[in-house]
Amino acid sequence: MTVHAFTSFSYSYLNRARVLADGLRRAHPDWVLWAVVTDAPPEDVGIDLAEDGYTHTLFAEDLIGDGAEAWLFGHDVVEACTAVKGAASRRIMDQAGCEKLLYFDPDIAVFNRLDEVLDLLETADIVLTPHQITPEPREARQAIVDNEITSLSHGAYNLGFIALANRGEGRRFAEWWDDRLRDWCHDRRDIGVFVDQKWCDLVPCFFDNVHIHRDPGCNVASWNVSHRRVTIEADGQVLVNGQPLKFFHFTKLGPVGDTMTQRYARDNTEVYELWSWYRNAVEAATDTRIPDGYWHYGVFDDGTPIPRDVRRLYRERKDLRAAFARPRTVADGFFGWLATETDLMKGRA
Amino acid sequence: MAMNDSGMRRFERAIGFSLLRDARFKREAAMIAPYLDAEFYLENNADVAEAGIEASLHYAKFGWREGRDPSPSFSTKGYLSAHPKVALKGANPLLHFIQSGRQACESVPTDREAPSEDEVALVEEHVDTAFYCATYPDHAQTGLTPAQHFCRFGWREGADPAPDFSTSYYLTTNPDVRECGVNPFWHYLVTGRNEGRLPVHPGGWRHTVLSAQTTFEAYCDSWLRTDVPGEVLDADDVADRLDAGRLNEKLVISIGHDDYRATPGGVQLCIGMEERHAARQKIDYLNLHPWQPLPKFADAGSDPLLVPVLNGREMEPSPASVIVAALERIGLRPGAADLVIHHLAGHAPEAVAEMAECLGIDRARLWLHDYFTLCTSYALQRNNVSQCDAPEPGSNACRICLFGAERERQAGRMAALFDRLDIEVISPSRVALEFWRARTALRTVGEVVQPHMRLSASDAPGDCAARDDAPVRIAFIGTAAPHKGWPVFRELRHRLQAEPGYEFWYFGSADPGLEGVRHVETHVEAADPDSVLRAIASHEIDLVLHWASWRETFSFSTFEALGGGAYVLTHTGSGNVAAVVAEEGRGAVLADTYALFDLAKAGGLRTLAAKARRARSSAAITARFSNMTFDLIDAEGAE
Repeated sequence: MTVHAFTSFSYSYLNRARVLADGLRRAHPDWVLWAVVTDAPPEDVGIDLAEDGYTHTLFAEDLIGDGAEAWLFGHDVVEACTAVKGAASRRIMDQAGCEKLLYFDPDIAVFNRLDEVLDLLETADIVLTPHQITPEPREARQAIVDNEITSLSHGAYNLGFIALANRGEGRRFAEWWDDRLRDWCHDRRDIGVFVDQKWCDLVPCFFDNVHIHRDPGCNVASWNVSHRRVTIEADGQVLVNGQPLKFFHFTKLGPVGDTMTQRYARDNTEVYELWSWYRNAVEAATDTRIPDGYWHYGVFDDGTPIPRDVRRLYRERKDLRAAFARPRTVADGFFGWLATETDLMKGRA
Repeated sequence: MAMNDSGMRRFERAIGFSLLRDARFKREAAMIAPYLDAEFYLENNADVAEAGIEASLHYAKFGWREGRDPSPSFSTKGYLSAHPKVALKGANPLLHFIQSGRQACESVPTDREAPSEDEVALVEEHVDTAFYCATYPDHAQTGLTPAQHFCRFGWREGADPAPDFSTSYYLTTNPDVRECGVNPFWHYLVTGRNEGRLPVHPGGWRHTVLSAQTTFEAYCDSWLRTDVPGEVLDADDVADRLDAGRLNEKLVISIGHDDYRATPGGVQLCIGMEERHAARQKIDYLNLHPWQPLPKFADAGSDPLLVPVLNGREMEPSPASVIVAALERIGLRPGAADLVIHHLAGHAPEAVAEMAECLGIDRARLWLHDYFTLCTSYALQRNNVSQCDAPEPGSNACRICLFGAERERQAGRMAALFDRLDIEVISPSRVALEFWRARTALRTVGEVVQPHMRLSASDAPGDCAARDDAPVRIAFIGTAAPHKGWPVFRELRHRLQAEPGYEFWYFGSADPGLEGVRHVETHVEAADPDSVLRAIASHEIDLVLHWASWRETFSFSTFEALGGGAYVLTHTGSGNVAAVVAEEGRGAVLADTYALFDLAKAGGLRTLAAKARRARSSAAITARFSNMTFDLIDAEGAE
């Protein structure tokens, strides 16, 4: 049996992807790890992900093929790194011997083996982890807003993780996922879409052999830590509600994550220990040659940042897509068109 | 105010729809009612009074939209013009004022010269005066009380009014309060606490430590001295100085981790007492400690500077290799030297091994004063915040620990030392030795228990039987630091402060500045090791709280407490503290702080204090110091 796992990121999250790979290698040294990169490194910066534990690297251009520049132009960095997940799944599932495929967000860290999930994939084809597995009490209004209502708007399952069996419904899901993400992987909560996550609320409707995995040790994060007590035992094991911690989702490293964590972890000091470790591990894994907030596709090729409204305009106007096949390339004309025909670049160029 | 049916119908006809069907406005009305002056509202709005509609309901539904004021002190138009975003959202301005906490912000004068009397009076009730005076002694120069100083200057300068309120935390996590420029403590007391805002980070002191922690390398850097060593001698010079300072045939070389004469602590006390004993026994005593103390071994391959102290006289620091060469040159008779390892931090263990081999010492002695032989975190404090049990080095606990990686590096060098030298391990307690043995495979040639102090029945039972109704005296001994259990002592005092009949005492060098805690200045030194014990006895302390967050290998303060006639309160994870208390039956070993506070609430501390008093008068015990390693060396010599 060969288990493959992948993550998807831009180079700004390379540090996190390194921490993820380290944990995966410790827990499952036999897995084939894939890095899916939607980015290009800064000039003169060489990055070899094999040194970080990744067996293979796939670039967005490899997955999208012709038209990648135009397609990526319609996405911001979060949307783009998410939108390639379906295509990457299909590509990896086509590898000889791939029996099981797991996806992890780069800001996840793995602490223990995931044998239970692998066992589940013997019978289930799709394994999802919900954001919450315990309802908040009625009087916890703030927690209901922060956790449950956010799940209602952003999706019930956290798509920082998914596990697929490379057969039947697992493959059919990957095709559907790829289909939707090609056209609809956007943060459009105004129409009920939130990248790939809200789509996956439909998974139990569309597919059989779906397992909703309610292990408190999986996908522990600020949005569920109000009901998950982290302890560190005498033998050095980290437990969550008495179960071994499989993986922790360190979402929003920084003040926002801190605020939500302290609001719900309260005096559970072990949670702060995990965060402190992660912050320092990410810092140690940071490549200082990569500027803060770097994303190759975040700017026109002359370095001008691409505004969100410009991306939206481009992806919604078929005529513009037809007229400008390489919108990021200033010489291709879209940049000039924006400057003369719209106010969107005013003060930015 | 109730509205009669005809009034309601008349009003509804006037406005064109049923008011009471709209539940949202009823809820709003209920929320603003406490802040709305109904009498004022109805007096100034005769149409509402005539209709017989409740003032708050009218304001919620129509009043604010029509620019009517809910009270003489709140201008609807003024608020909306000051907060255009509220106007733009079509939000009830009074409700916004309440929900955003602005009732706290905007009613406070922002003139720093003149906080309102109400503000100062409220802060006065909650400020911890002793804490404030101890933490910010300069405030006294202003002639202001702590509350006045805090309200006028303190909070703007980041001062905390009490240990359980962090000004910087509150302002950082509540940007609305920060933007208002309002006294954060006053805001918290008036409204913040009712809104569920937190006064301090819920992770407490542990979070403070964690948030400041980066890498182990940075942690080590924080230990570095800023001065530079003076002249470094060569081996001949060192040998000459050693020869000149030697007085006796026999020599004991003691390895320590810092300057035992300048740093207070248990290990340092042991070395100091050994030095004095050696002088009495006509034995030369050479202490070698690193010029640069470190929380780890000196780097592999390095040649750390060591400070030799021969018979109490300090010599110039020299590299370990030079000292080894010098010791070789002074021509010690075979068997004349003993090697006692008190602590290896800051040393290169390879140099220690070489020294023993050069001097023909076939059996070194190593003390388990702490667990440095198991982990770089000598007190087994994961990330400096949590007690751990030295799990397998590859465990998740070690992976996330500040000391984890260094522990793995250190383990190999430690094992090499134990393999290279024949080492007899000396533990100051049985419980420490058993714990250590269960967690290591290090090779030894012997393992013995040698307590630093021993308890025995007193020759002269005390005559200081206190009256049963005298206040219960509860004390804390030593450094007022979290890992020693100071937060638990503080919390216990807090919980019992409203109850009559308790006194809280602190025995240590510096006043911890906690309101209601009496400070007795004590210093522990080898010349007068009994001083704390005597202070405990003379102040008739009943109970000593010893809530250390690590497995104490011995605990002088426990013996000082018991020897001074007090009972000891501790928890099951405190190592030898718990073992001694259980064995002597003098005190209580509790599961956790909940059990402690439950015991206090149930009056159990009074019962224990009464027992301690009876024991003092009828079955007192004394505590006597041992001669540390010399008890073993002397016994060997006698054989």
